[in-house]
Amino acid sequence: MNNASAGASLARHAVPVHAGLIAVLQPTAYVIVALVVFYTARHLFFTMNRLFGRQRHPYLDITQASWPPVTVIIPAHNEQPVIAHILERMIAVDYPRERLKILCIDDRSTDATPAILDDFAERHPDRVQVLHRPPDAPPGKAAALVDATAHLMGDIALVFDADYLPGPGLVKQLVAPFFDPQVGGVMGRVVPYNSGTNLLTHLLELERSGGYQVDQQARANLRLIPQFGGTVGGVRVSALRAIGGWDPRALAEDTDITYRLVIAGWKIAYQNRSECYEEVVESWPARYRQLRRWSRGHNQVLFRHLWPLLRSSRVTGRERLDGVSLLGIYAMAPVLLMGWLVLYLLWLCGDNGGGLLLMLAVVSYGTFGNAAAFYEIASALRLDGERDKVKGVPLILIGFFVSTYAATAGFLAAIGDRLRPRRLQWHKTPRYRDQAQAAPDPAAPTRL
Amino acid sequence: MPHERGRQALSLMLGPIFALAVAWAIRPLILPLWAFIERFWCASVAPAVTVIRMPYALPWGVSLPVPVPDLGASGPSRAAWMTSAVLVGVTLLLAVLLRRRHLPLSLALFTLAVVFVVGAAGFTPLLAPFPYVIPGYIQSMLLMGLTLMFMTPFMLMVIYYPLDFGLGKKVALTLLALTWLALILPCQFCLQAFVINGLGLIALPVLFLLFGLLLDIMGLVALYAWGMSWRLRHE
Repeated sequence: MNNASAGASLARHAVPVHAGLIAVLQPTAYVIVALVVFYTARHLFFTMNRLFGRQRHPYLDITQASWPPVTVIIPAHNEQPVIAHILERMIAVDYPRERLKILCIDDRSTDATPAILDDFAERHPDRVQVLHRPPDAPPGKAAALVDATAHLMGDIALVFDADYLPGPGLVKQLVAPFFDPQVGGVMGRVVPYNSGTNLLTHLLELERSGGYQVDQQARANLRLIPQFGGTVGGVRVSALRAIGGWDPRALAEDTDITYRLVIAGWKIAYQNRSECYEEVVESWPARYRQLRRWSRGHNQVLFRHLWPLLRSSRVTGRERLDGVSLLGIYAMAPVLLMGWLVLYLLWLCGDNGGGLLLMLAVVSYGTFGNAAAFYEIASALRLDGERDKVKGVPLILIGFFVSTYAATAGFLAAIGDRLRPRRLQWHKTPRYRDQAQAAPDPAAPTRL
Repeated sequence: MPHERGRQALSLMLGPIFALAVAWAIRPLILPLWAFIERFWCASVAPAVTVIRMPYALPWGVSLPVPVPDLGASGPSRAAWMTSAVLVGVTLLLAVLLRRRHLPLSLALFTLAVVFVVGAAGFTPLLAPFPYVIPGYIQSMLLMGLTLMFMTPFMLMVIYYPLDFGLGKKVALTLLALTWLALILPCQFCLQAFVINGLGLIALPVLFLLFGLLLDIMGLVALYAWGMSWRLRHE
């Protein structure tokens, strides 16, 4: 090509010939980029707060108290590889024996879970109670929790998934916030113990770190809405009953309860130093299904509770803003994909949207996925004293890439549920532990 | 402490200082460097290809002579359409086959196929005429690269400078990030020019979306992560 033809090419370059299409796409692009920029700024604000703001740990000093009766609920559906490990740990927790009831729900299990649970109940009749749900009982964790409600002891119910490994002091740490009469729910921090297994588990450790160490703690610092995550946390039973109990239709019963409590005027407390180890999924298809389910459930909550949240007179302005942005977090995945498509089409029409594309390219790295931006994760790892792990942060793009698709699929499924309610299909999260071996004993790193 | 506050203020000043330095260096340093790099690659790969300067006029009367390889490419022929259709089919098939064992790769292949198909629409009556040719495209990408270079110190000002790293480390990370962009941008888009020249304009949209600025920013994220792993002043 000679210089003359280069000149001709210049004339052809970026000539918008699809004015009508551009007129539609360009405002859409501005709205999408504005949304993505908002979430990027939100992540950045939380990161700065966590690094430089005043840290709130209001319940940290409660170590001596007249501890109230509490029920620890452990729903278990085919949890044979892991259920004995959590029960061994739960029986050994530091809490007055007569005030702690461990309520195990055998949720229609077809493996050895019922036998293991019955064995524990036989050996510890004063502490462990088993509730067997019949095979025709409605599926799902929320439905199991509904059944458990009639068997609770005291006004505090803590919930643990079966793959978790609580430390001795965890129950007291999670009960402590309930001495505050405004607190309706509490959430502890989840830390993967099997992060060294493969790339995925390593990436999940980074995501969890950003999500809890920065995101949740910043929301606690700012008196916003920390999220009850459905495990390593609990609810005040009287508050739960006042808002109508667990919703068996909810796919994300944790987010559903969080919002119903907040709308009713209750506070959610976050205990960053109440750490509990979990087993994260070790395969990408399992991760994809898990995220799709979370996204679907979260977006169901978005559709159900957005308007009540906006109308509620019991939430503060800042809680309302945070609540809305948290509700929209999984919806950002399709928004991001849509943004790329819109700007790509604009570019194909010869219009690069006045630099919008560059802006989206930059801010996308702060919004990919659903929980934490790369600088949020890097800062969280620094706070955790995990300096060397920060070097792995660029790899989170792989996880975020998968998350974006999974969350989009969940969002579309939630819209489908809205248009045509269907019976929910439950996919069991696989477990990777060997039941025959002793429970893993991850050493807790020092955290700030 | 006043001394500490002064140090922090100086740290934050690095953002505008480096951004201004970038703005100042564009004409005397960056563009000549890019021209040198592009000439080097052209001489190595195809000695007949020259590097031309395409002027870009800034609003305040300054013109930027952006160096671009003088290469051309044609729109897709019938054979190119057939080949593309087969390649898209194979890519989608691979995406399906790899879904269980290599999900991220499967999704990447799916994305590649979708981006290609949407890009190919630019050559159909739906979106035609395709508005880009190699020099104009390379010029616009290099200009976006310059904008990214200008923005980089401001991004670091927000996510890195407030942390308690020594001033030297903050300067070092900024210089590393800018050096990365200054060196990778001409190499990347020179390579793209040769690829488009070889495969035809139909390859351009995919290269633009998937192998354009996202790659450069990924490099910035990697450098930032490395910088974040350095020791703080008190460590």
